[in-house]
Amino acid sequence: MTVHIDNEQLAELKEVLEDEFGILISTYLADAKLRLQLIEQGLQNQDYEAVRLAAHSLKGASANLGALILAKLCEKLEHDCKIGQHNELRCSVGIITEELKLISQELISISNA
Amino acid sequence: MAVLTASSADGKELIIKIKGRFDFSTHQEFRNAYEQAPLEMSCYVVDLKDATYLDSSALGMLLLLRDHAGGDSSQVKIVNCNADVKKILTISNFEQLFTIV
Amino acid sequence: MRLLIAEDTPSDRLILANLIKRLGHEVILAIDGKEAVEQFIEHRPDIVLLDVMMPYKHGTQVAREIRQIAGEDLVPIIFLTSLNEASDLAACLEAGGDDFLSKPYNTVIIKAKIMAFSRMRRLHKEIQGQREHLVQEQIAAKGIFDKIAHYGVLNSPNIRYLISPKAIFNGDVVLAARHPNGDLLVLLGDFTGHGLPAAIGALPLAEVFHGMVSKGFALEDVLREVNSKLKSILPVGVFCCATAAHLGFRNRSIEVWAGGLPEGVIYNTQTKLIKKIHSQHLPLGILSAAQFKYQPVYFEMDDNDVIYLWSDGIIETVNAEQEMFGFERLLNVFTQSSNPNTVFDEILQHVEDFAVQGSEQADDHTLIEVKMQDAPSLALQHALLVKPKVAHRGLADCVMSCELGVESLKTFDPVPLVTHLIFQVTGLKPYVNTLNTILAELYSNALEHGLLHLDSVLKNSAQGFAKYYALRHERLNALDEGYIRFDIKHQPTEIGGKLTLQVTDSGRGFQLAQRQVTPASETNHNSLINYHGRGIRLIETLCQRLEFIAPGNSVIVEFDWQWL
Repeated sequence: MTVHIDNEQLAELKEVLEDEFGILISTYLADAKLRLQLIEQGLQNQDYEAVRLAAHSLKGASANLGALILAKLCEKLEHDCKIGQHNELRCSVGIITEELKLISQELISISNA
Repeated sequence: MAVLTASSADGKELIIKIKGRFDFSTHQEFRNAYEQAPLEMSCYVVDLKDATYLDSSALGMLLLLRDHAGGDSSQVKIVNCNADVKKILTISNFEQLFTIV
Repeated sequence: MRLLIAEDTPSDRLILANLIKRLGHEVILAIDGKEAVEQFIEHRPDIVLLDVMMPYKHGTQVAREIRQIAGEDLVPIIFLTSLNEASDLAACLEAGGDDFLSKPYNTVIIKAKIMAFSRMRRLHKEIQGQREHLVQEQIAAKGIFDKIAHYGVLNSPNIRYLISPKAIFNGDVVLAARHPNGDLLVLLGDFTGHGLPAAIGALPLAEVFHGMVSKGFALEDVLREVNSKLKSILPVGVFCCATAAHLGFRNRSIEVWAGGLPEGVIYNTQTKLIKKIHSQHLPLGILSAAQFKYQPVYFEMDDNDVIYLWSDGIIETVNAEQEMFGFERLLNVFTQSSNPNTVFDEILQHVEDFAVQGSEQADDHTLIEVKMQDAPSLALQHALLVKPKVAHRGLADCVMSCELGVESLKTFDPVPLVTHLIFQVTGLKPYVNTLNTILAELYSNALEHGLLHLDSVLKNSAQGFAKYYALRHERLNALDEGYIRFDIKHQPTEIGGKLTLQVTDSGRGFQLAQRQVTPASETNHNSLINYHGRGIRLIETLCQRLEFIAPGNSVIVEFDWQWL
């Protein structure tokens, strides 16, 4: 089974943040939603630099939360924008959206635990 | 290494060679050279063949060596001085305290 | 420590902030590049964590700006990045970054880096504090140096001098003081060591020098005392190279002692001749009192003579090719100069032109010029204009006698002692210049003419001068019998007092008509001058009475004085 979230890393974060862990999760999710919006917008306007920057941010934030697959997906999106490879972008964004939905649920349940 | 030491065959003479600039940066090494040698040295030789420059702190170090070697009863020789080094020693009249060759 | 975290992703920001707070540090936050700079200026954190990709200002730009604002303050900048291309990372370092933290954040690594940079920051602050402290000490030491330098008579009309602004660092000292009879003594010294250790030696040097010279002590005595003092105070290996000169306007001689400094020069502005002053002694503070040598060189003083002394800074100034200015070039300035009044400036100009432009060496010089002309003379006929507050207590009526035998005469100068005795009559203190002159003149006549049979005619030729002093030295050492006696009598009067001084030597005197002197006749006059030198004329003008006792080896002078 593919590991979507590195539980060990998350456990460590929980230890560091203690009470604020819940806030971290909600902060991340809100920001991730925002970044995704920016990516969609960028695609529509064919502003690939905007897409790249948003993907870069989401990549970093996701990595820090242990969402490794999401991070990898963002990395590919970022890279494609950088080298001007625009064909697969729509598809990539779709996959990213799905992945985000998936881990959102996991994160929320972990934080409620 | 700017300071090299050697002893004579009979172990009574300590030879200290200075390479490059003989100035304040040589201070610690120079002191170690004679302080770490056995005390019964009868004669000290400072070889300046490869010394390029001598300043007043070097003169001070020579005086410290002389003091260590017994002051007025010491035997300290300064050898192989080039023209510039010799001039500095002459102006300070150090031949009144050291044997300069 | 106080850390600034500039990170635009809120979750990342939260993680870091928490981590760092947990480590016990204070956290300042910024959410974009612009705010990052503003927060830095306002809070001046110790360490900065900087995201690379930020809105409004790129991380590297922020780093550059922060570096500029921080100036000499070493603030570590750690970039937060998920960049992984070497070129990007290199750009971060070039912008002033010190290290990276990559995402995802590893708590162990973050902790380690923060600790390392904290320690570095703390050390840096410690060093800055110590440096501040050192600078304060050096300012204080410089204050002392300035006081020493400007004390004395360096501002006389016939003296020009320049003391290196770095004197505090290279131990240069320049001193000038006057004997009560108007003779000038100058000394240029160069202590080994820098900063405070050099200042420690300069203080007693200046004190002894000024104290003894003002009392009329000979240069030899001054230098012996200075040498002993420095030897006892300074650690082994620290010493003072110096050249000292006694400019005797009274007997027209220049007496020079040189130990350890590069050659000085006596330049004659009329003949353009240059006489060199060679270092023949060990520097001050090395030899014990018994070993100290005093073998001065004597020059006859000409009105157009000018003495130049310098420390080695001038000679050792280097140009772009690492060549030294050297003594030859310095001599050339003299030979090429057309105007004696500008030689001083010309020396400095040549050195400045030679030196590497803008280098510190350009103005790091110590130099003194002393002209024989324009030497301020003392008004000997009048008492000091400044009325010292004298108590009316002290010696009043007294008779004293002091006789020096051969052994004393060889090594001891009695003039300061006798002067000191006389000044126990407090009312005589304002007349110090006059009395000291009289005493010195009578004593040197008694010694040189009476006992050593030196003929002052000898001093009239150029070589004769050096010969005179060589002979003096030789004959004094060979003296095996003889004495000089001072008889002092003082009687107070209603308005002041009468001082009677008699100086007698054991020599054979000179043939004299039996009665009291007025050197009216030609023969008396000539033999008087030949025996006693030109100075005797001066004494006559200063005293109420001057009498020679047959056979001429004893002189009595009477000095009437009044309370001021």
